[in-house]
Order: sequence, then structure tokens, then C-alpha cells
Amino acid sequence: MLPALLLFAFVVLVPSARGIYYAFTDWDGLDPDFAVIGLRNFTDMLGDEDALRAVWHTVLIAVAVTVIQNGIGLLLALGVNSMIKTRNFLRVLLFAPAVVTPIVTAYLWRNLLGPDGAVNSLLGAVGLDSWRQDWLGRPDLALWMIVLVVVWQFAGYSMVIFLAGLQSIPREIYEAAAIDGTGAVRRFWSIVRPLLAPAITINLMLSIIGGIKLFDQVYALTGGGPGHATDTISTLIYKDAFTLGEFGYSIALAVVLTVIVAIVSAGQYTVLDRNERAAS
Amino acid sequence: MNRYTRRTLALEMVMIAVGIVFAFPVYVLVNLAIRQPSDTSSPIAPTTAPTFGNFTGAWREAGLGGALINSVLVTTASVLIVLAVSALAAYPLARSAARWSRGTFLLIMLGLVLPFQLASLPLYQTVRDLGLLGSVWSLVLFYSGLQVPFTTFLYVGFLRALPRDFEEAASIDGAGPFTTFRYVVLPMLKPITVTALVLNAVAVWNDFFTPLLYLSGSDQQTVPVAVAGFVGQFVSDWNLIFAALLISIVPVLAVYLALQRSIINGFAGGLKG
Amino acid sequence: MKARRFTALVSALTAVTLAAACSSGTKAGSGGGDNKTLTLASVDQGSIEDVVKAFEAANPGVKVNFTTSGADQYQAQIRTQLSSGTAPDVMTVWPGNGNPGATYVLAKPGYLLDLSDQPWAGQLPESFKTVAQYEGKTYNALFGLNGIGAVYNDQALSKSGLTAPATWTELLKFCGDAAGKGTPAFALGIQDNWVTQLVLYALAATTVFGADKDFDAKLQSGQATFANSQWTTAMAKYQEMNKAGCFQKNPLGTSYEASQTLAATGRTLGIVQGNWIIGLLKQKNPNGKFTMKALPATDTPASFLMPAAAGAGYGVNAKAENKELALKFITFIMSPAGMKLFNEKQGSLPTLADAGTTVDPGLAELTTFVKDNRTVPFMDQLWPNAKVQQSMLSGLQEVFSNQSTPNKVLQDMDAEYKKGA
Repeated sequence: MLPALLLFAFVVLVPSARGIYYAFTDWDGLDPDFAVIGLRNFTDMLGDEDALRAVWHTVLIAVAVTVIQNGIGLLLALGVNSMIKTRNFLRVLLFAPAVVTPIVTAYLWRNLLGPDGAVNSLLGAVGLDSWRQDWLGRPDLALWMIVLVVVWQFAGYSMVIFLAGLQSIPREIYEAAAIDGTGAVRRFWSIVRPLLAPAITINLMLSIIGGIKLFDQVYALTGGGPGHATDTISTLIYKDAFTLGEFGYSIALAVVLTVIVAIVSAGQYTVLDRNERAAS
Repeated sequence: MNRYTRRTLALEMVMIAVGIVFAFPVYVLVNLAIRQPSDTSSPIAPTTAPTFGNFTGAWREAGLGGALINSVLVTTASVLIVLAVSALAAYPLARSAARWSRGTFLLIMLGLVLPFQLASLPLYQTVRDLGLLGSVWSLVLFYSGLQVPFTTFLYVGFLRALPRDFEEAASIDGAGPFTTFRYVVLPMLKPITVTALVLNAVAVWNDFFTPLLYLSGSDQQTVPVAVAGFVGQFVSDWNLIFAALLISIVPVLAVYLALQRSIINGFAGGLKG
Repeated sequence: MKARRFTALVSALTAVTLAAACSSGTKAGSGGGDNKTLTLASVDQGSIEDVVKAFEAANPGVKVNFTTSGADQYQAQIRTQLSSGTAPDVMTVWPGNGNPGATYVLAKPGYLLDLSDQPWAGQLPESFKTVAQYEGKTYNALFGLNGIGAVYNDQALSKSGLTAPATWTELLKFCGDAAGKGTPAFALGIQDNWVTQLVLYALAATTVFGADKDFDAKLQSGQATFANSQWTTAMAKYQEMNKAGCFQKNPLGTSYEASQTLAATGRTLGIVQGNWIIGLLKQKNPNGKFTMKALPATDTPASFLMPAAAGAGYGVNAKAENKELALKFITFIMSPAGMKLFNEKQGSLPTLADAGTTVDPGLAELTTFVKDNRTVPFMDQLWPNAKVQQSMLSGLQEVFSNQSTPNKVLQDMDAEYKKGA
């Protein structure tokens, strides 16, 4: 056990503890002269419109990704868990984006969503010229495009986990219900859903924490723009530390991010664990 | 229930349509990667005069060869180390009911919520003091520690669900804890090890920001860093960039297609943990 | 059985790791030990390569280990490296203040070597001295000069039958006519947020500094603010240009790169950019001819000023492992041969008079403006911190997407300016 603990302490715990110290300083990341300023970075945050918006965007992205990705993932899982002939092929295809490097998919999509990109070309080709948009240039759309890219990439991941859950449900249970004449929707709701509880737990945990920490995709797709319309806590941490030289403030933001992730994970774990116990 | 009905056919059609929608970006990726830069037709029109010049150009300019070797090296070494130390750590954590065991477990779990930004600068300075900056081994060290919480979490969950009968039998036979772990527990860990291996490999291979920081100022790169640098440098030429993106994806997809069953089961395996 | 093999593999790998760690450790530490190796970090992709080659040829046995990266990545790296003592011997340093890699920012904590005793330091024209120096000492080898203006695609212009506008009124009419012909006047790629400032600077040079040459000093002493100055006029004219159809559709979704393609291929008649764009446009359209002119901001051409300022130069790490070689490299950059190489490759003008550099014929007007002292430094170079410029850049993106107003952007800039260094 010791090697694991040592590695973990050396790479994560000790540096994090040392890092947190900077959250209480006004260090600019360069000047060896800096002062300890107590909680000022945190109180400043409350008056920083950009930071508050970034928190809001982070929450919005996390919630939207979680709901949409898992909704689509579940439908896909039900689809490929059927008797269709292409089910194995589709499983492999739909899951494939999940193994590809996020920064690479984000660059791909940045081009697809450009004014002369493939998405607009496609809309033009099918006669929907009026739907053509500057997808990443419009502040009201850009955030949703980030959600779209994340969902495209990871819906297959959710699908695979749901699929494993579905397959662990004994066929007899289904058949018994079918013989009873239970309708498909009711069958799903009263029989399948409770048995899927572990899969739901895992999926929600993964997507919500992934959504909160999201960085690569935003960095590559919009860089937080236009303006600050898609800044998340993670992109703001990056900008404050490296572009603006407000290292202490940036670490204070990282501390806030930690607290949010911790609260959400703990809360989610407790609630879902209880449901899972109740369901099984 | 098991018959292919008309409704199944309808479902099949819908699912194929969904598959096409998902595959559309990949079609554009390939389509533009084989297109001559002078060809300015619509990005969705099939390329009529394909060329492989973009691939040779991208390979040469982006330094993808060296980057691929580095990525393979870093991923292999980090994943092996993290699996070994985490499995060893998980065993006592899962089996001991002592208070220190629970405390240690919670401490390690703390690692799941700490964002890397907190540790990045102090760790950078430590890596510097070790003389590892610009070396791919700094990344191996980093990921070996970073992935411990997640991997340990997987193993502990799996072990807790595993019956103790075999171990108890072994210890009655006079085997010590290490022997028991090696000959009794380890073989049973195979399914979760596949899961941990796949998830860690994907996480390490795809990471972008850490290598950017630790390898900066050197000629060493990993694939994501090489690609990002290439995009920054050749912003003008999307055909070339798409070729580079495609080259960077192909090894991953090849491994995925070759081992699809294990990989998909691996991803899903976290479920049983 | 399997388990044993696995353990063996892991221990073997660990051994390899340690061995490699030791070897690379010594390598990293011995960089400057032989006095023949120089480390260099640069943002001058495309030109530094040739300069390094020429420097190595002029100094047999010397090896330059250099890395290049985009400005964003570079600024992130150089801060981490300087504060951790791992920065290269020579590095790109921006003139003045206001960005995280600028002279004041890096010289203040003592990270840069004083270059005041170098022969060229005294010869720099006065306007460059202010941005190469910090507290009276020179830290930045500024080799090139850049200006901002309207760059026209000559072929596209003659094909459209229009002529480049000479006054503000003509400019608006020109924009309308060009848009009517389906080829908008200027390409604007403000998905990359730094591009947002260029048109504004081109307008502000004349409207702000033409009206009040000492505006910067007044701003510093607190006598003037952005929001209550001619900056509002510059902002308003930027908006007016946008409304008059001067730019192509969807500027916020258009990248810097895409804007180059538009101007190079004649899908717009030109682009408002720095002179470096001419080289890039010629890469995309080798047969093209491009001419830079002052962007008209009023109806009296005699009052026009152009923004022109030193581009990024090079500084020496105060803790350079190989100071002597670093200074040699700096001397080379500032020599006629080095300056010629750099500036011809970058399409910029030399900062020292006798550099023998051949300037692109399309830059004749800029050269004249420089000679006649009708230029204004890039506005951000004397701002006290990076946040003023950042709030301008993202603010302009917000104005273009109707999330903010010009007045609010200027007020935000005032607020950041007042926070000081």
C-alpha cells in the first residue's frame, strides 16, 4: 500500500496543499515579492461579474450535459439492446468517439461549426438555408455547441454503461412481464429502471463531474468567447493565472471548484446510494 | 420476443439513421483530410481528386512520429505502475476494517475531487528539482500518482464485493497475506484490471494540459500536444490540420477496433465496482 | 503464473524509469556547461529558424536549442519557467507593458538582464526606448517595427472598379459599394479575440491622438479617462463601419486564419491588419499584390496618424546559463545582417536606420508615416496591466454580439486602468 500512498502524496496531496497556500496571497506568478492577503481573493470573487458568470456557465454545462448525454445514452442502449441486425456494429460505432482525444474532437468540431463549415453546408444542401448560423460566434448558441460536442463524444459511453446494466437483467423477468401483458413503457418503468440503478449512479457521477471540470473542449472550441459567453471556472482559472498574472486569485477559483465538485459528488453519492439500496 | 418484427425493422432504420448522424463528423474529417488545399468545394461534397500529400506533410511538420512513441511510452509505463501500486493498496484497504484503513481510503478518495490546477505549479517546481522537466518520465511520475485514487477506488469496490472464502481457505493452509494476494486474489482481479487498464490508458493518452506544461521548452511532445501545437502553427491550412487529426486518431481507433469487446466491457466494468 | 510475469514487468519498467530519469536529469543540467549551447524560446515561427541558422553559421561550433510556440502558450510557459528558474537564456519579450510577457512585467521582478551597455541600446529611436526600457535601463532588443492599417488586395480592388478611400466619408461609401457588389470591403476575423482591437487602434490613432498628442500622459495622471475621451468616437466609428457593411458576415465565427483567406482570394477587397499580414496573404495567393494604407478616420487626410510600434523583441534571462553567448545572439539580432533577415522574413520595418532591409513595396505609405513621425505606439503598450487590454478584447467581442455597449467597455477599461500595476 505504501508505494501507492507515497506516489499519491507526492504528486497530488502535498503539491495541492502547497498550492492552496497561494489562494491567500496576491502572487502574480512571477514576482518573488508577494503578500499574504487572507480571504481577499474570495471576497473579490463575489464582486467579479466574470467569475460569477463562469460559475453559472459551469453549472449550466454540467447539468445540460448530464441530462442530455444520459437521456440519449439510455435511448441508444435500449436501441442496441434489441434484436436489430446492426446492433453490434452500432455499438462499436456509437462508442468510438469516447476513446478519441477530446482536444482533437474539439478542433474537428470548431471547423464543422464555422460559418462555411460542414454543418452550415449540410443545412444549405437540404434546403434549410435560413437555419445557417454562426454557431460558435453567437453568445446564445456557443454554450450549447459545447454541450453538443461533449454529448456527441460521450453519449456512447453512457450507452455502454446502460447496456451493461440492461444485460445484467435476466431475460426471464422481461418475458414474465411480457406474458403478464405489461406494456413496454410500464415494463421499462417498473421493472427495468430499478434494476438499472447502479448504471444510473455511475453515469450521473461521471457526467456531472466531467461537466464541472470541463476544460479541453471549451479551450479549443471557443476559448471562453465570444466575450465571456462560454467561460467556465476552468477556463477562467487558466486565463487568470497565465494571461492576466493573477495567480493567487486563480488558485482561489480552483479552491472554489474543488468545493463545488466535493459537494456535488458527496451529495450525489448519498442520494443515489440510498436510491440504489431502496431499489435492490 | 425474439422475433424480427416489423417494429424491429423500424427501430433498425431509426438506429441506422442515428449512426449516420454520429458518423457525419468523421466523414467530413476524412473527406477534407484527403482533399487538395486548392479544392474549395463544399466540405460535404465528396472529394473528387483525393491526395495523400496532406498526410505526408502533416506527419513531417507535426513531428507525429516522435510524439506517438512518447505517448505509447508514457501510457504504457504509467498504466502499469498505477495498476500495480493501486491493486496492492486496495487489498488491505478493502479487507481491513481498522479505523486507519477507512481514513486512508477517504484520504485517497479526496484525490478524486482535487482539480489539477491546485497542484500544478508546486508540482512543476518539484519536477524541476528532480531534473525531470522536458522528460517524458515526469509525465509517468505524474500520472502514476494522479490515477491512484480512481484506480484504487475501482479495485476497492470490486474487492469488497468479492467473497472472502478463497482467501480464508488459503490462510488456513498457512499462506501469508502476500502469498494469498499473489496466488489467490490477483487472478480474481482480472476483470476489474481490464477495466482499470482501459480507463487509465484512455485518460493518460488523451490528457492535454499536463504534457503541455511539463514538456514545454523541450522537443519532447505527446500526441495531443503535437496536434495542438500544429493547429496553432498551421491555422491557415485545414486540410493539413485534418490530416494531422486523422493520423492522431488512427492508432487509438485501431486498438479500439482490434480489442472492441474488451474495451467496451472495460468501460462498462466500472459498473460492477 | 501470470501474476509473476506482471510483477517482473513492473519492476523492470521501474528500473528503466529510474535509469532514464537519471540520464535525462544530467542532460537537462548540463545545457550551458560547454559554453557552446544557447537555449532560446520564441514566438517568431517562420523567421527565427533562419536567424538561428545564420547565427550558427557565423559562429561555428555553437548550437542553439530553440522552441517556438504561439503567443498564448508561450506566455503561460515563460511565466512558469521564469518563476521556477527553468527559463531559456534568450526569450521573446514584448515591448512596454500590458501583457504578461512584456518588458515592464518581466524586468520589474528582476528576471531580465540589463542590456543598456549594448551599442544599439543608445541608437534606438526615442519612441522605442520608452518601451524597451524599464526605469531607465534597456532590457529588450527590439528589431522590428509594425504598423496597422487597411491592406488592400490590388487585383480585387481593380476588378471591383472601386478605389481605396481617402477620407472617412469615402470609406463609408466604399463599404456600401463593395458590399453591393458582393465583395465586402474588409475581412474581419474576431473569433480570435486579439484581432478585435486592430480596427479600433487604426481609428483611435487619428481620433484620439490626432486630437490630443498627450492623451496617454493625461490618462496616467488621471486627468483623462477612456469613457470621457475621443475613444468614444473611435468606438462609435468602429460600430458605424460595421453597420455600413464594411465587414463580411459572421465576423465572430471567422478566425484570424479564415479572414486571411477571404482577403487573399479576393472574397473581400482587403483587411484591416498589421503589416505582417502581407507576407501571410502572399503565402495564400503568391500572385497577389497587397498595399497598405492608413485607415481613414476623419475627412482631413493630413491629420491621419497610423498606429506603429515595435513588435516583440528578445530579452536575456538574468540567470542565463550562458550569458556571453546570449549577448552574442542579441548583438547578432541587432546587427544589420540579423535585422535584415528577421524583418524581411516577417515583413516588418527595421528599428535601426542603417539596417539595409528591403521593405515590401506595399508598405511605402507606412514607411513615409514613420519617417514623418506621424505614428502612435500601439495603445496597450503603456497601459499599466494586462487586464485593461483583456477587458477591451472580450468587451469588443461582446459589443459585436450585442452583449455589451461601447460605453460599458470603455468604463470597464477605466476601472481596470485605475487598479494600476
